Amino acid sequence: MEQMPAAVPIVRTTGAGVYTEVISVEAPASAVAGSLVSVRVTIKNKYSALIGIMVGGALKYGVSPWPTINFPNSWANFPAGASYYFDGSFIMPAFAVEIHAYSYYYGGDGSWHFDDEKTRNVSLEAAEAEFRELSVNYTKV
Amino acid sequence: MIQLNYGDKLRFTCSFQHKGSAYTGAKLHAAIGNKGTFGFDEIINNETTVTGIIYDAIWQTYTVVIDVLITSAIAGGAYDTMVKLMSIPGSDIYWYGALGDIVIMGAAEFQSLSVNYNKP
Repeated sequence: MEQMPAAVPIVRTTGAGVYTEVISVEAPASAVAGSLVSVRVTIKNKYSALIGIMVGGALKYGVSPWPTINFPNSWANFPAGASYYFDGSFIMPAFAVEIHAYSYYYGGDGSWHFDDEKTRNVSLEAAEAEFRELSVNYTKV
Repeated sequence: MIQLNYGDKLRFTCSFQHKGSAYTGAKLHAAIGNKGTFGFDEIINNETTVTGIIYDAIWQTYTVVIDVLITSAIAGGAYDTMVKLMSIPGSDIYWYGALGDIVIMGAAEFQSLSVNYNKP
């Protein structure tokens, strides 16, 4: 039987981390374009009881919509006061990125509600240019 | 084998692969001359700066054309070809054509003018 998220009975308009808090966003300070970048987002349940908490993430670097970060396991039920981390990843684009990590809680209305956010920058690590395989054809003009 | 006269051009169509950071300053240098034991003795050549190399996450092929004008600086005869990709990170990359594949026809020459005359 699939586990269901535990709900906060009273849904409040948040975005200020009323029920959850993004404690940390861990990622390398720099990465080479095209490489797989691992992200770990730790979230705390600030509510007084067990609630379902979901993680989300997106990359800000000049494209719209912001590409999302893949979290294979994106939610869990947290006991009151507990912290838990979610591991995710993305492919580094050819630009420095600003990771936006989000926390959501599951409300009594059956929906996930955005609650908190934290950011972290990953700079672009230069990969030296490489060249190979010179081939030539020639003809009279 | 390609035969060339003065004023002709030999067009080298060069392809190479790149990956990594965008790069400016790479040059392609094409020459006609003689390939010997100790290197390539260039007689005529041309060179171009390669532009438009952008960041490539995987190997990408670029093609660049460079023409070498056949001038009287090179005498008639059979010659070799060489192209190098230079001013790049690491060593230059060389390519050599088939030996003796280029034949320069040389300057027009005249001789043995002979004349007869009579009353018509």
